Amino acid sequence: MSVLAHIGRGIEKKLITAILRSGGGRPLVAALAESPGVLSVSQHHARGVGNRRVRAHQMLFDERDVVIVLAEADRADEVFRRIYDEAGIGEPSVGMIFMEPVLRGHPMMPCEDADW
Amino acid sequence: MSDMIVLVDVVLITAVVQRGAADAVVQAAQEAGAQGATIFHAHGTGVRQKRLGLLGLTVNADKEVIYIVVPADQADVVFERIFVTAKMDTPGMGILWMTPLEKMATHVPREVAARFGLHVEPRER
Repeated sequence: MSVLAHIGRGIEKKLITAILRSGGGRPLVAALAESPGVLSVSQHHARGVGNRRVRAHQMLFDERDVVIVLAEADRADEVFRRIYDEAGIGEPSVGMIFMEPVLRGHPMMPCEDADW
Repeated sequence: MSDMIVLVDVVLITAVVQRGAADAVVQAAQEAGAQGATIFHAHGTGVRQKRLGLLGLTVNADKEVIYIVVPADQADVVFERIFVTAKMDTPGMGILWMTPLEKMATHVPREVAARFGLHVEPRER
């Protein structure tokens, strides 16, 4: 097996995605940066659509933050719970969190000089 | 720390559609049973897309990505409805896939939890 064939294997991983109210992403990314079991965190914006309508066929949407976390499979449940508590997902209208298996994945490499 | 209700047998449907098509797709998915959707913008093109349209210029590279989480038993209906609405059988219109989720969690109202036999008391702080 070549060297490249080993990349992304070894440690089993899970992908955790949290969809939160706008503004909830940044603090969560900061909170998870040093969290055990977390390999990579990234965040982007999105809009969320529910069942509310301005009028028929005219959707009302909310600003959302999406946080994507690559976590070690052994600690994924712990990370999932941490995000749930940290983001307050159990409260109404905050958002949702879900976890899916990852076949093969490589986290973002840490920068040597970074102060984070 | 509050009690967390974990939902299983859920599926994530991800659709990448032409920019501007997401609202119609989400509307159709909701008519098929989806509760909501998350939409964000992206920019992408396929390797063969340059052969589509007039020199490939008429196919817009601006895309919208749609996440829809649905119960596994409704997933096929929602998936097929999205396929038809987004005209996925037409080249260049987008792509669509469905992946199983191990678990998900969100706010579950107390009365809904009770209806499924779960009576959740908040933990004492």
